[in-house]
Amino acid sequence: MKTRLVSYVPLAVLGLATGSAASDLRFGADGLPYLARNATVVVEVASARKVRATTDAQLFEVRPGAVLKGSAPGPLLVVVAMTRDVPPPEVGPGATLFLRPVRANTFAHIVPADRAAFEVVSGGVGVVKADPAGRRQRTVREYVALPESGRKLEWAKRNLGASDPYVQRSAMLEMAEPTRSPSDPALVQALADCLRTTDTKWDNKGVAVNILAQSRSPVATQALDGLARDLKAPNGLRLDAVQAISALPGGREKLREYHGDPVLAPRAKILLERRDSSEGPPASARPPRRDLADVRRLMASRTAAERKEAASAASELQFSDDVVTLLRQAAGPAEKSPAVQLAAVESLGRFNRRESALALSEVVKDAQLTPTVRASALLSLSRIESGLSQPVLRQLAATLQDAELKKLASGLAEQ
Amino acid sequence: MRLALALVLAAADCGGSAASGPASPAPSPTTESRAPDPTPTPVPLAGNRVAIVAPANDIIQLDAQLQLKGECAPAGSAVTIVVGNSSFPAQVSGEAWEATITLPAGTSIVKAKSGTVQDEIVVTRGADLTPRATQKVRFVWHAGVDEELRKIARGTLQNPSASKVEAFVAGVRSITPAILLSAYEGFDVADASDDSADVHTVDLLPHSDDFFGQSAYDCGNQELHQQSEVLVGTYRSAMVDEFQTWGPMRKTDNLQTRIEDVASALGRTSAHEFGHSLGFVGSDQGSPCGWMLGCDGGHNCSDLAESFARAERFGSGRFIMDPGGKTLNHFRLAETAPNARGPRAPSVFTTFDRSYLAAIHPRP
Repeated sequence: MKTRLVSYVPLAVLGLATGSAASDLRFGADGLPYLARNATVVVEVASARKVRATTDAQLFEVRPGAVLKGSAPGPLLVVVAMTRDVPPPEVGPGATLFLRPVRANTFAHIVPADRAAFEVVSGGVGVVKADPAGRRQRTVREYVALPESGRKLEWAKRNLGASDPYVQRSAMLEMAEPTRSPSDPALVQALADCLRTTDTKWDNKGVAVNILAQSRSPVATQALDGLARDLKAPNGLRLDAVQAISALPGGREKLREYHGDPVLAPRAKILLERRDSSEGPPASARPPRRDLADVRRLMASRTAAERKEAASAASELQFSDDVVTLLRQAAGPAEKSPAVQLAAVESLGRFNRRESALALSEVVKDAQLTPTVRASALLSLSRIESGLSQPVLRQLAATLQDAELKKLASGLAEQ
Repeated sequence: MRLALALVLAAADCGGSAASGPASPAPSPTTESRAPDPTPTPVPLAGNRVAIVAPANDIIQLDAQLQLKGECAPAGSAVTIVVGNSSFPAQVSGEAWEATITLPAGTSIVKAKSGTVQDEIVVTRGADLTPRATQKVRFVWHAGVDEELRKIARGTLQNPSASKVEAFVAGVRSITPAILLSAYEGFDVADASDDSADVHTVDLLPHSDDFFGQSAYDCGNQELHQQSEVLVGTYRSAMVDEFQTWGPMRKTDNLQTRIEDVASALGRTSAHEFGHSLGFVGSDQGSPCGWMLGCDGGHNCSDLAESFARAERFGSGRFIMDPGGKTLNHFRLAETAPNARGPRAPSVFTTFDRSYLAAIHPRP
């Protein structure tokens, strides 16, 4: 796939800046911590009047009932981006709006040029819907008013089991705030507790697993073990817990205990083998796990998937010139599937041998191959022991004609 | 082709779905590759057992008639198929059984019962999908993006030399397209270098915002000529300003590792946005393809498991169409955990998503 450089076209010209698009939000951009951190003004709506609407945005005149953050004198002009599938947010009495000034060159088609206006942070998700009973508003108000991290942690601990899904998710996201240390014992204990309760939703437990994995705490190991063994938990989450445990204190022992569980055992086995291989003898001293004849047969398959499988499996063969030749062919221009070529390139880089370094060098120099395959070969080459790869990389840096590949080779040769 | 959709999926080049049995878990990613279980695991039938062998769990069925096959033990046991409030007897021959049922619209739990044991799968009767022409895709790197990439290199590596920074830019730009193509491997998606009526353009832009990318939604991929936006500036601000949230990245990582990190992230977002333009994920809030039961603004729905326990359609980011706000950062890096490096395992499409792709872009 070729790529080219063109002049920057403003987003609005492409029609997606505020358009009916589905977006890939930042992690946590739908929760209170992110919204509060990125809003300059937070208001509760007393009344709101829709001034204008297009297919991709709505403009409101909002009278704030309470200003929770920043300054907002008088009625505010607020623009809400509309995204597909998200019902138009209810900008009505009781809703909380997380706002920032409209950025230059955005929403010009709907915001009057002579009026200051605000946009909702994170598009429609920056409008927090009112709860008729007023509980959500009170909780949001309380959070926004909290001055420092310690008190926000207390707020989060109180709300990890909240029945309001928005509040519960925000509480978990507060635990994941970038300023927090995953090793903080109070944080670890709170997250360990929430893994054991049925009040916390599975997707929020997924965030807890992610934080606990970074804690290096035996308390985390115990809690994650409990989740891994919970037959009611989604399999993916149980496997995430196993993955997290593998790098925590006591992880190896726990992994061994999962051999009888049909869901956990395959993952645990792979993780144990990986630990053994990183701590055991070098790959060259271990017996090969595949047979060359089998790999060769698979490599001749008509389906790309099988050839790709063969190219990947070749990395587990005993090293030989035949293996290098096989992989060199799979990475070459006669192979029509880029996926097979990339797998072959990857496997070549797993042999710490001069022959594989030279084979990768040939792939890099082959102008019939795509830039992606050639660049991948350079990266794979750089994984080979430096005594073998550096001379080859330096030579490539000096001789390659393609400017981008030359730059890549030069940088990798410096390592 | 419609009746054989499950078979098409099973035969797809690099993927497919597992036949399910009581002892085989719902398709779950493995450590080495997160593609849903590619091959059925034979389950020995001991004692009283019943298993649905075909179709695979959580696929889309376009035809109203659903053909079921399975196994039972002891041989000759009576097997009943249950869908909603309706029951049908299966034709049993030895330890094998077959049944053809009429599938209601929407998503159903189909159960096979024999005595006191049962097995179940989730099947969705889709609509409005027809095979489309080859979808081509190209990448356009806009002015200003290279500088954002340089900032990522300087902000996430320890004092990289100018040469290494330039190598980083070249490496990321070279590798990113391969990540997208790998995600769509097995389907009729091809790379392109120039624009034309059948080309989708992924625009890589220098902007920073609350999101990493966006794209128009197009149920059934009716319009091949569309655009997606990927905001490299968002990755710059997220990775540099909040570096500690991007484990297992470390500032001591080498150049090659960081190139793979960032290319994985940009490639994944490109695949995700491109996915929206192909029709992922219709929601039940009135949009076309609402039968896909997406939520969170057209994404895989984390709450679906509450209604359909065997429909594994959300994975905190291990699946490509998971909602961005709920996607853990290490999955964007194609890493399986935030606390340790492992073999790269890029996010994949769910079994359900793969059956959707097989319906609209089957490999010719």
